[in-house]
Amino acid sequence: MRQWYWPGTVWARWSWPWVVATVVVVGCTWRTAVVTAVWRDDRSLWANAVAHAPLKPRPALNYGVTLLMAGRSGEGLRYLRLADQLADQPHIPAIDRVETQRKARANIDRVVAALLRVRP
Amino acid sequence: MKLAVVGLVAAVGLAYGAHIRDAGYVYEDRRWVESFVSTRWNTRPLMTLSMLRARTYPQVHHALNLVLHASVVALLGLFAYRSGFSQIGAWFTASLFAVHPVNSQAAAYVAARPELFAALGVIGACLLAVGLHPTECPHCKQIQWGGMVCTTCGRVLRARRQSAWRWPLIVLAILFGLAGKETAVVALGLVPLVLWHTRQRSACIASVAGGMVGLAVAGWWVLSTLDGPAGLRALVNLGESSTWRTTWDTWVLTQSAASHRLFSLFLWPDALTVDPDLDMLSTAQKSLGLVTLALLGLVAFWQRHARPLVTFGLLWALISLAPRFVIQTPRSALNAHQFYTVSLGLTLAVGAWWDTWRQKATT
Repeated sequence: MRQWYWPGTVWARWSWPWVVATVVVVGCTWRTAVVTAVWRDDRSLWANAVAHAPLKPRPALNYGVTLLMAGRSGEGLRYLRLADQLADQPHIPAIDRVETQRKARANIDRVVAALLRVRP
Repeated sequence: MKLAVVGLVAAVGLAYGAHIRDAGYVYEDRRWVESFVSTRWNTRPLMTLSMLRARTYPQVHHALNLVLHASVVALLGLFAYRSGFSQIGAWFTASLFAVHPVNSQAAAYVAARPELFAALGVIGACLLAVGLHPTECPHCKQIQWGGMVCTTCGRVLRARRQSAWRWPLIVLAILFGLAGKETAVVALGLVPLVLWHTRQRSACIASVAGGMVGLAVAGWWVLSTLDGPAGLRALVNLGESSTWRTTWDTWVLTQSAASHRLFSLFLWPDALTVDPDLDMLSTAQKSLGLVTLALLGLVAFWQRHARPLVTFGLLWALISLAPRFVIQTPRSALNAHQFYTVSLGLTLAVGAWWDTWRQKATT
């Protein structure tokens, strides 16, 4: 019969916990380095939040605001309007709906007013 | 062992080095740096002090957070060793906590620094509760901390009588944590747990009594300053706008779902985000969180004889989580940086399980 080299036959029993510990610590280190990169600035933080919660209004609102602050008014407006729409979903708690829509609409009005001043 | 410590420092450097060099202020950091500070002397003095002392450069703030995280890691390693882990098991526990992605929010987010102060106070108090003097095993003559099972010969030890001086030090450590953030109140449950685990039963009863007296005095003082039921309601909604309200059942289900998410992320840290969408979960899905918590309690009970350190870690996690179900912050369910103290318990449980496995595989 053909003989297979399964890791258990060549690796000592005591070494498995060490292999697992090494894999876990190295994996966690790599993952933490990736995750902390998200916390570098507001734009990467909220872009990540929007990617993970595309139907939640607050990430859309905050991402919209960071885009406005970065001078990307068109994209920012799009996310602010999206936040305003998402806040209308039936499962959104009333406190979130009110707060998000108030802030999104205030920001939209401010941006539109600024754009009208530049391009009447 | 020196090599292991060097490896741990290198891993932390790899995980957080780029962040310290490149990151700026995010989310609520600016509120702390620019305006929030002057209003928070009464509730978070340590955070306020640290913000005033290092005001301008984000790198300084990120480095300070990492120093605090590293201090918690060092104390955790020492605590694990003194509460019954082998040296290698304690090293693995500390390493896992140091580089685990779930803890990265607390370490990388300047505004989360109060959690680090609170955790430092809590783990310091627990370390003091284990005892200031080691015990010598009467059978194999090995020096042991606390008073449980001898890690060398496996026999049950009697705890050595500890100095009374540790009590004021424990109180100071808890006050230090509370000066960082009010979440350090979990130490009132964790210190008795440590004393019970290390077989210092009379000290455990004394600490429970002392904690209850402390809570009663603080509760009486707080209630006397409140304006009836409305005031109590405001206290439960700590730090939130008075118009943001939720019901108890909604809040418990939401926190259960948030806990379930973070326990899952502890096991498989793949979808970490600052603002997860818990609202879109159905009531049945949120109830799953309660099942998870019950299961953790069952595992803790089930493992109490075979792996007492695993039971200890899980009970630590559950006790740390409990106040989160009382204090209501309707627009912000439990998030990763608030999970920091809970994560200490989970890491202890995983480290204990690994240590037992390693010892069995070696013999």
